[in-house]
Amino acid sequence: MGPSSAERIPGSFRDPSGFVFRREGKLFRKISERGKEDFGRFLRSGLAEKLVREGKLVPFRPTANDSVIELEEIPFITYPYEWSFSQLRDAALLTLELAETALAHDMILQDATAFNVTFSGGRPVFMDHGSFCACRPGEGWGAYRQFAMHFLAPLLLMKHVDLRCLDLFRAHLEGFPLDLASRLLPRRSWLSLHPLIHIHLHALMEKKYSSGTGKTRIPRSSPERLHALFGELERYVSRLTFPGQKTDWADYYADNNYSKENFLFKKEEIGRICRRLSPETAVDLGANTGVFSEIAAKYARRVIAADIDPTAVEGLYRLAQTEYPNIFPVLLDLNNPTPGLGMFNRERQDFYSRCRGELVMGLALMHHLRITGNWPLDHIVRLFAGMTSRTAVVEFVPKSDSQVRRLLRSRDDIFDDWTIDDVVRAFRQKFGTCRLIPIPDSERMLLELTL
Amino acid sequence: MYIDAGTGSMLIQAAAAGVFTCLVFFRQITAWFRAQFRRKEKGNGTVVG
Repeated sequence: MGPSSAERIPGSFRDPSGFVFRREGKLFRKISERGKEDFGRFLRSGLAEKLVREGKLVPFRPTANDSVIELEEIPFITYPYEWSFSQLRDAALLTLELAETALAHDMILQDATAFNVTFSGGRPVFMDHGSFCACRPGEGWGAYRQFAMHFLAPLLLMKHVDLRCLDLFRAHLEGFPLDLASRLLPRRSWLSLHPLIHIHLHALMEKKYSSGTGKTRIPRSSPERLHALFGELERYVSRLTFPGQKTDWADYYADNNYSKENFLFKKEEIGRICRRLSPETAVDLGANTGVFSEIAAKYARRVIAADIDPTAVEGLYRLAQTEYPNIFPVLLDLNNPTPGLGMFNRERQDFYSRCRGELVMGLALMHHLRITGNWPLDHIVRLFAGMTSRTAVVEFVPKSDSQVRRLLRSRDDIFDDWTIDDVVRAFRQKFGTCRLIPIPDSERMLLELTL
Repeated sequence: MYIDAGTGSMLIQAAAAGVFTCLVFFRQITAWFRAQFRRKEKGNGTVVG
């Protein structure tokens, strides 16, 4: 079997030791001549088997062709700019753990990009089977710079400046420039050992040696020194806790006009719909703290729970870690969803081409799109009709509701079509059926829409 | 190695690894002293009951 008639995965082209391709719906990795020796060592050393057994590496199996392995597919890939703080931290810890474990098997992790990690089952998992190569005596960790740019700089900026600094990842797929991180971090970070070494002095050294053409002698390293480096980095990164920034959406459920009874009704109704549909994939747009993702997770094989708020996504990750490993949290702004990025805009996929489900939910979301985002009704319809293959459940919140009144407080009401009749009419353009479910003691309405 | 390790980065990494090796050594020594101290304290303790 060869990759000739196959589709090469656009994000897999940098490493000459191999690449990933898809053929007949299955995912494979081709090991090139250059990568054969290292991959053989990776298998023989028992490292590959150990990492797969521990759930840290995507499972794979050999094929009839000894230079091709078949990979188990992760159903929904998320990228670092779609993660919460703790997800990025846990991905960093996994990378360090793999680097340390590899060292114990006389191998080294040759790259440390955050794009080698994704999340499945509520935990980080490493995707690059070609990252492990033989450890040459005296050589240091060549991926140190990448680790600082992909993990330490964004984590420190999120922790000490603002959670929204993660957005810089979209602009810098090669990792955060260290000189920029050094300038953005507060002055007091110069007094802290790890930020001082890995960011500030690192940025200065990069600048000093960036234009040099002469050969510089780099001091020899040893496994003991590398263990100390990995161990201390691990110790430091594991202590980076979520900064707990107060955000607009964190108290959403505590600050609305729902009574206990009608919130319970809404939960029960969503539960009934999810049970009836038992979808393979459910998508919860504007998931907030995950109240409805949790319900969907009981009946769906997987739930993609998206929210604009980094604190909400942090909560969704906690939910995935503890009770519902089938929840895939994702940080997403529907007004500016993740675009295709990188080489030819195809290296990292856009959100919509990765995310589709039999059930798409948008609860207490539509009025934000229509009124805050000025989305025309047909765009809202297009969003749900484009993402679902079967059913969408949305909530209509009328102008009389305090939430909508708040949105209209400081702007002109130009939303003449924000009535239940107009909304139903718009959805009926794309959806065959529309079941209206009034929420008792409120003017809110659930709409169950079927294509 | 297909990524650029960067000369400045490799130098700072070598320095960092050196600093952390000393730090680990220092921590091991303090842990050893603490363990000795605790053992001594336990030995001096009175048994009640």
